[in-house]
Amino acid sequence: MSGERVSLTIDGRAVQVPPGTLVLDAARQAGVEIPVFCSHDQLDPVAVCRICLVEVEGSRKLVPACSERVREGMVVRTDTPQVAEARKSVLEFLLINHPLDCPVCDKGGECDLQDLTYQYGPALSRLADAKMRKPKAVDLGPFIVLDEERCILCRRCTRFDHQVAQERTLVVGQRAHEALITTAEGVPYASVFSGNTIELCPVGALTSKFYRFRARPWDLVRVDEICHGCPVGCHIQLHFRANVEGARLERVVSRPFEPIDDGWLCDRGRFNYGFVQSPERIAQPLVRPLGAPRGTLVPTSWEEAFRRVVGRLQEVLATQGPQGVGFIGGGRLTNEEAYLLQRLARQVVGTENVDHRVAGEAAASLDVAPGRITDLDRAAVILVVGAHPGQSAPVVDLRIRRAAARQGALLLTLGPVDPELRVPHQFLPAAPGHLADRLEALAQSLAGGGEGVPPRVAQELHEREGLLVALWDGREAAAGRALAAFLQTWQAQGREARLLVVGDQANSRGAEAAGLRPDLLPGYRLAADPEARRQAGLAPEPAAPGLSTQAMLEHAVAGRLGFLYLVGANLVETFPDRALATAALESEAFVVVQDLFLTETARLADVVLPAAPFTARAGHLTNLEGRVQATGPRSTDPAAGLPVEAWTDGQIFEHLGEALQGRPLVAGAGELATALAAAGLGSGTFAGALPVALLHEASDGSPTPSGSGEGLVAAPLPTIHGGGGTSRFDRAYGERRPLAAVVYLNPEDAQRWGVVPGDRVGLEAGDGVVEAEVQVTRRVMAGVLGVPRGVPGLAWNRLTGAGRVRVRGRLLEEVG
Amino acid sequence: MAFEPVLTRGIGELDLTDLKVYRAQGGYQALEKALRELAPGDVVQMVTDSGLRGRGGAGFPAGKKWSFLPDDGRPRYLVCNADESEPGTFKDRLLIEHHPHQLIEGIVLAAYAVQAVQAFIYLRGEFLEGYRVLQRALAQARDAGYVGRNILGSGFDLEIVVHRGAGAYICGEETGLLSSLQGGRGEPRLKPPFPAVAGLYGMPTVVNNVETLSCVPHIVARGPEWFRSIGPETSPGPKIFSVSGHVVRPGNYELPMGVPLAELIFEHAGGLRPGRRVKAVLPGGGSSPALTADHLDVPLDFDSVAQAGSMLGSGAVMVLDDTTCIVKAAYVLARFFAAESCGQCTPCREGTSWVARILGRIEAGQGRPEDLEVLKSLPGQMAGRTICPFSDASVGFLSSTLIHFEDEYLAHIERGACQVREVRSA
Repeated sequence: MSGERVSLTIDGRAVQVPPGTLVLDAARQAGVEIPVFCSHDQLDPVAVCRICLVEVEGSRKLVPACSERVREGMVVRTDTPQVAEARKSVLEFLLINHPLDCPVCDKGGECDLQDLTYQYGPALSRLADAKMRKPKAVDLGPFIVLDEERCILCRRCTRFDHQVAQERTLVVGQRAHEALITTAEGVPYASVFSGNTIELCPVGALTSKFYRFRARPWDLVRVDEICHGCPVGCHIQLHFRANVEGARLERVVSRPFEPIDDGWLCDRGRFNYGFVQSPERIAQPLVRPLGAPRGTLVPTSWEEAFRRVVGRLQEVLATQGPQGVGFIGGGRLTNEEAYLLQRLARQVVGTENVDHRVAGEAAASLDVAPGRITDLDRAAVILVVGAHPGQSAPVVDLRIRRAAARQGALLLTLGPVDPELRVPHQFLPAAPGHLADRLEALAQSLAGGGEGVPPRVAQELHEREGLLVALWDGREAAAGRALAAFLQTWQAQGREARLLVVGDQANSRGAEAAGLRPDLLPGYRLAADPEARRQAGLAPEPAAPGLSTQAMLEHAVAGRLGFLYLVGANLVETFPDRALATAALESEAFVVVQDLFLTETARLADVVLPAAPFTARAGHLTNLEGRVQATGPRSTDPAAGLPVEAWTDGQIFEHLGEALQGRPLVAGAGELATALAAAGLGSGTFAGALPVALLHEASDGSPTPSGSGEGLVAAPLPTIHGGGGTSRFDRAYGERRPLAAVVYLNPEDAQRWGVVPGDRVGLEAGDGVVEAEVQVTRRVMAGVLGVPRGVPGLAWNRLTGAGRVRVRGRLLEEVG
Repeated sequence: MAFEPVLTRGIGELDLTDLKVYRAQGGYQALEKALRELAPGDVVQMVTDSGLRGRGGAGFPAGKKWSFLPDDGRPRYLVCNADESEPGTFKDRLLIEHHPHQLIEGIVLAAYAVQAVQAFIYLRGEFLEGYRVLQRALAQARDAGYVGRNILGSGFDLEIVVHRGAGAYICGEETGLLSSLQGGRGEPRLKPPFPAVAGLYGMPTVVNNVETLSCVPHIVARGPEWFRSIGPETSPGPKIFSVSGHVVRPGNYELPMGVPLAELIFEHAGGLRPGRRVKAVLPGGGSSPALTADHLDVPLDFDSVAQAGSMLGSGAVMVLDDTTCIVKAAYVLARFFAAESCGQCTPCREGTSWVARILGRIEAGQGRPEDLEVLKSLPGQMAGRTICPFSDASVGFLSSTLIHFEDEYLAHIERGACQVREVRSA
């Protein structure tokens, strides 16, 4: 069947295409261009714009090429006077009410209507009446402004929302010439994929709140990039515009790459770029004056800052030895920078205290059935373990939605909180710390047993032939082992299985592979393996076993670690035990922070080094499937025109290395590339993965409920628009997506604690109280408190670090 | 042989909404006969043999439509199109409000013939009285065992649900109707697949008009030959004509298909007011191109009216006498279509409103000579270029009057006023 071909001719050119091909695509293959507005590769045909009408021999009427399938012997003509007249006619109709504001329209210069009018349209308008006036700036949602006059009602946006996002918020309202794009029930179009409609729009109707009236397309300098927002690694393009102040990043657009993003981006990736030119960027190095309390920072020069860092590092090395020094950070670094940081630690300083895990001990990969994102397209079963793909890997979630809604995949979710999926699925609740139990039961059910697995699920798992794709958030080592066993059982039954691990940060997987873990050298070689150490140019025995993030913080509090170096790591916000992170930063240890912004963590530092944003660096990122992708070229730091003197993280590491050892950290770019290739991080390749044997039990404050006891177990939830850094310091973005301090309770628990939805409650954990509004939902299993991470004003990690959480009634509004 | 009304017999004399009265007139006997004696295929064959053509407007052979359903084990649906909204048409309303059991019997027979598991009546939203009548009649039919489980002990089950539309003309188009019935926007979609293959909820579906279904009990009761004996060979059967406009007795007239236009207007509808002449006739509702006084001998059946350059449509005959301003008539219709286009396809969405704007301006005395050229070109730019035939329908009257009455448009443009005023005041 696969080899079957249909022969037809288009404008006299013979072409052979698979059965079912659209005439439009066959024409493309034959080198015949047919204009389109409503048609789009990723959307079902609707044939409403009528610009693609062509002649088909034997057909009385013109036929839309975007919806007509090829037939054997079909004769198609696009070059006849009748087709030309039809195109001209459709353009005339589209233009009668379309405003002539091209000179100020964002789309001017990259507008399909403009281009096709030049090519096929009438030169003059025959309209003698006034054009219809409609609202010019309708806020559809946080990021989208609709110009109703410009809209040609091609319905790409509504079809995207229905068919791709599976959300059905955008709809066509009214009818006839009064038809318009609006939202169902007038709710805001708050999808996390809303920005895609701007790119889909063939005219300037759907515009970006941030880009609106900012630039003309021909004035933009375009730089290819990889999105640094999450571990999916979507392909993007940065559009800069030069002005008297320097270059400004004006917008981010997609650069379609089918194996990862299909041309879609999430709103975080598309709109959270303003931080790079935020006036809140740290402008120059800061130091805490001698004797001043923590929190006092004064500007200084790079030279002085480095002198302080190097001086203090040498003092600590002299008094405490290398084990008194620790480096934390990495999930945002490139592979190259991550490698340099661990090299600085291991080779130059001589310590194994390096870790990239700033949000608890999560794995970023697992060496079992390595999967690719596209595997989701052919999945018969998708099993989501602990992960919240819609929040932490949004564009991957689009594939999950498609597989479940349109391809009939069975979708199972397992964890304490059912992720917000827009498609039908089965939730298998599993208490924090007990995901492994549930996975083991699931594995047993494959063999016919499996207590506690709903019979329907067991039966479906038994009957479904084909590929199972699991998505895991890398948390709970025991869950990882159980998941590995489950996948192996599935495979043993002659069925295919694949695993994707969603790391915490954009490049967690690259950092892991580059050796930013105390127990791993680059390339997943054991730090305790003398042979591996010899090859890496290290002493056969480490001076002391390396410390994890948690252990470094504990050692700092205990006075055994006198020098703590944090790179892009806002631990106060991201580490699951806020009390410990704060105590470590307030300890006697000398704290260096390298960051873009004066975060809660940076405020407590002794030295703050201003880092440059991703736009200023070149290198590679490793996405969640292990794909090593080149980031954009070293382009520009848009804040450089402002009085900001920032260095890239890599430049800082290299400078420190040279200052400490008197020679470069690596001999040159060639050596660096060789070292990364040897670590399995060669450009364009796929990285290795973490051996199952290296899954350690969490030693941090991750929620592992101890005993029974009264109270709830807090389960942290990733939040797409939240975070400890870039989103918080992007004011325009933050204002469009305000994050409420909301926690989630199961109805049973809400009743037990006497709270109703909307109540503001006090949450007691340890000796602290956190205030939040309660929402009641069955998405959260009984006994669990869902707490979003990265929401300003909601210190989630006060609740996860200190055992069970008690709900202290409702806080009544004070009256009078 | 004098024609005896079939579909409207007893209306106005008897309360046919009462089950007892309907049964006393022989009601539900066709259903009993079919369920007892006929296989579903036999009923399809009878309707095919009868030559019954759809009364909703398109005139497609009903039996043929039924035979298109694929035999693939999927559940099938029957939908009765009762969204009567073509301007000038009011025949289905009569049948619904005064003869509901005839329709219900027709639906059950049709559902039995195509083995549908569920039937829907998509009722025009404004037909509130019809809705009440239907609900009452359905309750009676259910109690009497004509609707519901195991109908008349035959083992055949059928439930009928009445769904009220929300007032869109386009929901009379079958795919628009189905989308609306499913809770979507009332918008036609691309065909194929046709509803017979992928209709309601994606399942094989038959959509038939009220009048079409109301014929079925009579065909089953009296046989296809009897039905064929009425009217012309290619368009047989009785037909209800809704006559409106400048006639002395507007109303519904049930006559054999093929009755000459003049007979309908002058013998049945009482002719025109004294001293008036026929100027134009829309033989098939607001969608149909105008016929003129030269066409009064046209037999009113699908093929003859088409040959005369118009269409029989739903059989809504709108008569315009010589006091009518053609430009104004075109404008009134254009406004209707400009408001009722679903708005999907560019030529229809933009074209209907453009036509209305130009006609409005000409009618108001603001026309320009170029307007006529634009008006003449727009029908060609709109017709045949959209998903459904609405766009064609919207310019039917305009196109025909630009041929037959171009002088009236010219006079409006040149003099800035209507010349018909002189006729009116005469």
